[in-house]
Amino acid sequence: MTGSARALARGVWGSRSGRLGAVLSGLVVVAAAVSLVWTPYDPTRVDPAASWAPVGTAHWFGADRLGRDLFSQVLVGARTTLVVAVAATAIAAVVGVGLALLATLPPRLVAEGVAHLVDVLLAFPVLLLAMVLAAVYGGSRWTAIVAIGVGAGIGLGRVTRGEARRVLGADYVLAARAAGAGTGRIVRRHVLANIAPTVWVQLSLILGLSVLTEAALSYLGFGTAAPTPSWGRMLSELQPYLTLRPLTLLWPGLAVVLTVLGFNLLGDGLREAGDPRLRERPAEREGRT
Amino acid sequence: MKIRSFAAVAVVTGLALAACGSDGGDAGGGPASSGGRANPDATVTIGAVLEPTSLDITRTSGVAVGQILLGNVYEGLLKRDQKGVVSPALATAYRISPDGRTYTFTLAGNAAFQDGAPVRAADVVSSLTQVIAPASTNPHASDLASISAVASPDPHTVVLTLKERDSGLLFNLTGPAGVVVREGATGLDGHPDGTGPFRFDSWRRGDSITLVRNDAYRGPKAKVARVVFRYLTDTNAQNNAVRTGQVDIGVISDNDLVEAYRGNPKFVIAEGTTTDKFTLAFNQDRGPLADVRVRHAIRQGIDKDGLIKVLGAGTRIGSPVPPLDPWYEDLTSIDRHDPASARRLLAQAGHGGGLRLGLTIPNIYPPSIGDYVTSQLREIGVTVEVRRVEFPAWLTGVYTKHDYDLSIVDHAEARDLAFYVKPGYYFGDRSPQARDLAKAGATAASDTDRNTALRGLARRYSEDAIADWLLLGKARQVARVGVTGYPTNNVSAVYDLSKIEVLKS
Repeated sequence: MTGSARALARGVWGSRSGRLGAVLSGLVVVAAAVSLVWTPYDPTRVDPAASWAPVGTAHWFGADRLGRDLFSQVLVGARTTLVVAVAATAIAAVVGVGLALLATLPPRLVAEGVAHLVDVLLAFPVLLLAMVLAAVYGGSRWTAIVAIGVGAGIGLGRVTRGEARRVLGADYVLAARAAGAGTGRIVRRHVLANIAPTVWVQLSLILGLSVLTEAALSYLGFGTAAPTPSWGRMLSELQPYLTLRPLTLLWPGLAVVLTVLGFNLLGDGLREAGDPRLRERPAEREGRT
Repeated sequence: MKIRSFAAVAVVTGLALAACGSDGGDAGGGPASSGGRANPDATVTIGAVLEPTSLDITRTSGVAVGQILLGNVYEGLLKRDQKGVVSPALATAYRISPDGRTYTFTLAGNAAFQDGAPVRAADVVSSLTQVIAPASTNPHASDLASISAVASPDPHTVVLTLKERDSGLLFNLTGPAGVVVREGATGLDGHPDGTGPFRFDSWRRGDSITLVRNDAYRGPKAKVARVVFRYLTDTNAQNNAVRTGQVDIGVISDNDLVEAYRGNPKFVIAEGTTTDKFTLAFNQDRGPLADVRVRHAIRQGIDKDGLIKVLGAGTRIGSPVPPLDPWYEDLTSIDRHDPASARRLLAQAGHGGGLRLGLTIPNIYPPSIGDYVTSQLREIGVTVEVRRVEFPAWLTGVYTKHDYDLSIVDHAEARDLAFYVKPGYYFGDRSPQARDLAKAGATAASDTDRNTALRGLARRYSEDAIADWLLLGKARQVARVGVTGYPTNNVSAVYDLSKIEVLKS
């Protein structure tokens, strides 16, 4: 960990929302990690005798109609969610930053063209893109990842382009250019370094968005394929019993809510830690009162 | 060739429709009639699941169109009740020659189409001739394949000449293939014109189909003025429509949802039997399933009683014959649930180290059935990869191209035992013995001979493990108290509306 990253982490932990976000996100990571080595039951094993088993010592979260343990499903679902969220966010980072650079660095005509293309693509909903991909390649975790990653990446590109333009117009970049620095060096040393805080915050929001979108896609039957447990699919399978067995829906629902909340709060923490103005505001306020 | 592919679609679309829990069907099976306090001006709204694609019953496959129109708007020479018992309809009487190859029907004198034209023998002749014509586009043409000629010696008599005996002909004449339409009738898609107790009124595509009482009907008049079929594909939407009174009768297949109505004084739960055979088909033509030991192992690996318990409804069947059929025999003792024996069989077949198979399921079925089978087979060392596909994709991939290992589909047709010896069917018994038994059943001179042959055929299917029959579905409807006389069984692809009554409130 570099010094600045450590400082950032300290900053996140220092803010109240950042700390809560880190704890909640950490919980998801731990759940996913634990599910790799241990679950109380095989989450896909049906057991007619345990059909709709109540919450208790045998089944902590109860069991679904097929007698599958809900706690085990939620644990393994965390893994599914995390894989999709992280992979989609990584794709979004590459796509977004790539598009932002393409829309600023090349000659004006090309850059403007890319910028307009991004604006047009932005109008295309992620869910629709995912459904089209699922229709062509079949619904799976990977179609969901690609759709969410590309979709969110376009949004990221739109936001990041402004930052990149601002940096490229700055005096220090002019100075670097005058000193003979090539485009590659300027991008590495100046552009990427300076847009990083914005990108990190955006990516943490994209993490949350990915969780929601993955759940939505699985709910609609376009995401994670059976029998791999997924929170969205659990919700979709349990939804008919909303009025009869509301408790069963609570678990996957709560898992989605807390995870998204965790990632978003983490984003807030990152923003506060990375933005000196936000960091200093409480102090200012204290000074005034 | 064209006819066959058409018929193929017909068969399987039928499966799809009933699969989702189509309308029930046991005339008079609902609560007993009220006797006098009925409201003859009432409208009954029925929640249905799958909407037909066209109302032209002579060209449309699937059971959805039949359930609305068959026996209600259209009639054939004969009709069948909820138990498969055949009785006269447009024909008042019939005579079969001793050699079983000539059927003579006497027509009702006072029958008329809903546009006022009387029913003539020529209408019957033209209707049936179109079905059996070489270029027939009727998806049910194979039902009447044994007929070689249709003639009318006088305006009140129709004579069918058969190529050979056909023990199933009377039953098949009660189906969609036997419907009588006006000679030269056109535009049947938008305007069905039959002879039944109801007239077609309107169709709001995507929403509802409305029938109104035919006041000129020759027999007992329908007891309600209007019947509306409302299409609600989503289980929850159907359930809410019943609960809020938007429909008077609704189809609710989910056990937990149905149970929620128990004890509620405003609703009646009507349960009945079906011909919905949820079939796990084995592709014998390729791969490990060509080995009969593997097929037996899979059958022994799946605990059907457990599945029925989990789903909360259904009947165990050991063959494609439901208990109401005259040739039913309890075959559930063949391949009892025995995981240890299943593993031994797999080891003998050389799959002791495990086996991977694909399972293709149309996504109209709830995922629970596939999940259950997958989980059970994993316990005997078979790894199943589930592919949930759109129904048309199932038709192309599994039904037509036979590109599958395992497949789960609801075979909803009544008395479909002979399908599984058809060459080119997507699964079945390819042996000459099976074909001979099917032939013997179809051309049997007596019911006893027919039953013996078909009983033998069903046993062969089960002993040869051509498929595993997971369960026979249960028909379940929830109706508002005060509505009576609706069918409760779903065994005949007919939903008789003529006895439905609504009490005056």
